[in-house]
Amino acid sequence: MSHADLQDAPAEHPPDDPGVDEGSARRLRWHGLQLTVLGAVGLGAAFALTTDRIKLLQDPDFRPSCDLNPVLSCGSVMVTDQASVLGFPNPLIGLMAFAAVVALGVVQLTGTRPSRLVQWGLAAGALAGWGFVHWLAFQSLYRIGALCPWCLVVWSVTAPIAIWSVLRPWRDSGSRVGAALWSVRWSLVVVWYLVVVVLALVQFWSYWRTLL
Amino acid sequence: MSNKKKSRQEREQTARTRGSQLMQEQRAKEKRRNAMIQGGLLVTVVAVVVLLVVVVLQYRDRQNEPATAPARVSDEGGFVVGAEDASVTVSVVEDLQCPACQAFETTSGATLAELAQADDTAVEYRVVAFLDRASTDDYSSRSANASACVWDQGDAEVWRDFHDSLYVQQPAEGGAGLTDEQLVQLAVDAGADEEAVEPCVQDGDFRGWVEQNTQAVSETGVDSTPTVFVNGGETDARTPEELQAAVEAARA
Repeated sequence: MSHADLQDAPAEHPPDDPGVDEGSARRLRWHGLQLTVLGAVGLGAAFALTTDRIKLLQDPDFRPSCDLNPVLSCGSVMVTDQASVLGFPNPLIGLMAFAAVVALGVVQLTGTRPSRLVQWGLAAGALAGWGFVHWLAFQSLYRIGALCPWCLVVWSVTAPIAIWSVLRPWRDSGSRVGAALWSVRWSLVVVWYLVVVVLALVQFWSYWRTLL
Repeated sequence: MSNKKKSRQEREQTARTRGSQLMQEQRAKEKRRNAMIQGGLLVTVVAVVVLLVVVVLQYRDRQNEPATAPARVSDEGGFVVGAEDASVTVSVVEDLQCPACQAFETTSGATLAELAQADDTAVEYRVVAFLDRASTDDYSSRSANASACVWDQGDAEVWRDFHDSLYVQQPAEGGAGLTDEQLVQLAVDAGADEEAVEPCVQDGDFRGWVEQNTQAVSETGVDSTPTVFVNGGETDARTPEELQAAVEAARA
C-alpha cells in the first residue's frame, strides 16, 4: 500500500474498499482472468461450431463429433433457420464477440482498468448476447427439440460474462443494489444454470429417463 | 533522545501496521467464510431442486404408465359377454352407482342377457366410475374395481350374476356405499372364489385401471351413464323393444 498506488488509482474510480487498493488491483486482475478464460472458452465453442458448419457444407454426410444422442446433437440444430437467424451462421457473431471479451479480459489482466464507457459498452454487448442466448435456448428447447453441446458451452459462459459485466460497473457507480447483487453474483449464475437444467430435464425427460 | 523518540514512533507505526494487517486478515477470513456458506447453500439448493424435479418427473411417469388391466378386456376396456364372432355388439357404458343405470338394468337387463346368449350377438359392459362424488367412500370406483376383480377370475356367468346383484343392492346417492366386505360377500354369493377376489377388492388391484379406463371413456365424449352403442354407433334405445329393433337394424 504505497503512495504511488494511491496516486495511480484514477480519481473517478475510488477503490471499492478504501485502504485496500492493493486488493483492488488484485481483484481487477482476477476479474480480467475470469473474463479471459470465459471468453476463450466461448471463442473455442464458437470456433468449433463454425468449422463444423463449414465441414457440413463441404460434405453433407459429415457427422459432427458433438452428435452424442438424439437430444444432445448439433448436426440437427446447426441446419435450422434459427441457427443463422441474421442470414449467416450465428457462431460468426460469437467469434467476434468472444474475441472482444478476451481482449478486454487481457487488458484487465495487465492491471489496466478500462474506462467506464468501455465497461458499460462491454455490459451492453454482453447483455445483448445473453438476451440472444435466451432466445436461442427457447428455440432449442421448445422448437428444435435438441440441445447442441457447443451451444450449451456458449450459453454457460455468456451468462457469467453478462451478469458480471453489468454488475461490476453498476456496483462501482456506488449503487447499493449493484453492490448487493455483485456480492451474490455467483449465486445468480448458478440459479440461472439451475433454471436451464431444470427446463431441459423436464422438456427432454422422455429421453433422460431411458438413461436412468 | 531523538533516536529514542524515533524508535517509539517506529514502534507505534509497526503496531498500527500490525493492527491493520490483523483487521485485513480478519476481513479476508470473514469473506472466505461468507463465500463458503454461500457456496454450500448453493450446492444444497441445486441438489435439492434437481432431485425434486427428477422425483416429480418419475412420479408423473408412473402415473402415466398403463395400469394393470383385468384379463380379457376389449380394446375399449369393456367386459364382452356373448359370441366371439358376434355380428352385432351392444356396448353399455355404465356406472354401478348410477340410478339411471339401475333403471336400465331393471327394464332391459334380461334383454341384454338374451343378446349375450344369442349366437351372433354380444354385449360389452364398459363399467366406469363417474360418480365417486355421489358417495362418501368412492363407491363408484370401488364397485367398478370389484367388478373387474370378478371378471379377472374368468367366469362371465359369475360376473354377470355379481353385476346384477350390485344393481339390486345399489346404495342410495349421498351416503356410504357397500363396504368392501359386502362387495366380497356378494361376489362370493355369485360364485366367485373368495381367496382370489377378497385381496383384489381390499387392495383395489384394478383401481388404477378403472381410473384410466374412465378417463379414456370420457375422452371419447361419453359424459353420462348409461350410454348405449350398437356396433360402435350411439343409440337412444333403452327399452327391450328399442334395443331389439336397434340390433335388428344393425344386423340387416
